[in-house]
Amino acid sequence: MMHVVIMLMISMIMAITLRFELISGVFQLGHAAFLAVGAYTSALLVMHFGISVWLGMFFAGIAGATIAFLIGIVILRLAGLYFALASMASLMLLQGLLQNWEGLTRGARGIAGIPTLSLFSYEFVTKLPFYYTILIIFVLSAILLLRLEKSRFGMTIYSVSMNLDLARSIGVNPMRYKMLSLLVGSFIAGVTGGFFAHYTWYVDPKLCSMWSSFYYLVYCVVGGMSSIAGPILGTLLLAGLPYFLSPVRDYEGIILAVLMFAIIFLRPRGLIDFYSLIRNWSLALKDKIVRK
Amino acid sequence: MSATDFVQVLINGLVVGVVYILIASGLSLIFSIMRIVNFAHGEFYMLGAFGIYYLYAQLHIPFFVSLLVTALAVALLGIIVERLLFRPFRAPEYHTLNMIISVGLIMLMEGIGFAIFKPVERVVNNPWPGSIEITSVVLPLQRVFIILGGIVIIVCLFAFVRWSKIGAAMRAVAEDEQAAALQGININSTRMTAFAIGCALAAIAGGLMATGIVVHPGIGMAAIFRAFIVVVLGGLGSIAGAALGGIILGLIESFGTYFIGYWATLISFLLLILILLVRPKGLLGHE
Repeated sequence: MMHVVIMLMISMIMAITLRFELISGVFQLGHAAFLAVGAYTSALLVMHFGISVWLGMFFAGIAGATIAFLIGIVILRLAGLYFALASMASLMLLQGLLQNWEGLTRGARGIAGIPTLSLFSYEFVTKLPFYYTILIIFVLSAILLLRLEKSRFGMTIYSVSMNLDLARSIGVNPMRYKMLSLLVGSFIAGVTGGFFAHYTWYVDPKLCSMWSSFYYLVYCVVGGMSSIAGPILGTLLLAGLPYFLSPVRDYEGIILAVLMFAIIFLRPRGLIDFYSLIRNWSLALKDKIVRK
Repeated sequence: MSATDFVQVLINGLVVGVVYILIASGLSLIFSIMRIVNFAHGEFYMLGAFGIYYLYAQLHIPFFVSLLVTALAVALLGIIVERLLFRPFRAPEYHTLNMIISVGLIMLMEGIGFAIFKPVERVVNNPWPGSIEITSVVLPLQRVFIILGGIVIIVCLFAFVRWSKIGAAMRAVAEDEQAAALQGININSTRMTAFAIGCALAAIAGGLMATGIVVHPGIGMAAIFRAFIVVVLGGLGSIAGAALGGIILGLIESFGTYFIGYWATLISFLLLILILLVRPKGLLGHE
């Protein structure tokens, strides 16, 4: 059960960072790439240079952000759909590299035997300390993203996504803001990847898959993009459900898809919209009572 | 690289290229008229391959009859999918949502595929054994048929879009939906036709390819990425572009695999990024 919670937390962090990139107008289809880069970086650094695992996780974030910077500087100037396709292509490119660069990544077999996390010579063996670690990462990144969204930076990215030309006319450089939000998102994703490597003790190129990126996007949209609670709700429902579907494992995809369509049809703006629906009802109810 | 090898690799590249063109032109048609990036397009390709497996390989119905029946059945399925899933979200504000719906459609169709067809690898026996010999070069008939069949279908599609009345309506909708509606063009039925034709093209591609590859419920995903590269290479919404892009990608993959093995796949993704940077509208695209 603890394992399920930890995996859900990882997905949630990925979903909230992806949402942050999306609301800044970065239509990212390759978000899983940063998790994979982080996981490999931390695993290789710790195993080859014997640095502390925590330092490894920090460098994982740096590596994620560096890759995002390199990709971003090349493709961020593409608009909308073209950016989406290019980000997908960069993910495939990275996956190909991880699979074929045998000397560094050991190819498709992946890297096994990654050291576990440890604090002052206390090695993490049970799930509980891992849970607290990922909880801290989750809370810190959620606070960071919320603060950023409420700040001047957040206001600016809203203005960019609402009316690009108007934002430009008052001197906003959209590229800079998109890049910043991409860097923040990829840094957190990289750190999460580092955590993943030390938690499962194994990484392979499947981490860098199109499917996981698709799933994060689905969590965001099904949950709703209007607030950070959306992706969290979406992840809880859509990523949490499969753990309870193991008796009907063969039909998991079908059930998830039907559920997703049902939510989209009822609330195209996502699960989060159910909340406003309930609030409207209760307000209307209150109104009625007051009038009486 | 000897001359025989060269021709062999060239023919392989053309076969793959023609199949890519069929998938990509459907994808392109759907995008230009419905503004939907249909990630689930590869699943219709998968269904086409299974149609040939069941009708031709199992029930021994003649190949081209099987192909026609499969294409029609998949087109019908396309109409149902369009009616149920895409039509309710026609407004421009739902563009992202449409993409998500198509991702859900992959999950649904692949899930159903695995549930019904089971994850078993199947083989369709070659309908055209034998080969023709030109001087010292041996051309397997099967490849010649795929290339010729593909070319015929692409030419028909091109003529249909260019000269038929429905084709003209499609081009008008692609140009400007509102203006087309003001001219009395039925937008809904045009979108539906485009989606059905696109799905049928994917099914035909799958059916032709089924004679040369292993048929499996998961083949759709690999196909869709190639189709995206082709579409971006040639230009979104341009059928001639899809044709050019398909041939280029087919040849690059074929010759690339001959010379550098698996790394050839990476070249195609690199090519995609390069094209997007140098010419985002694609080789033959226009905004």
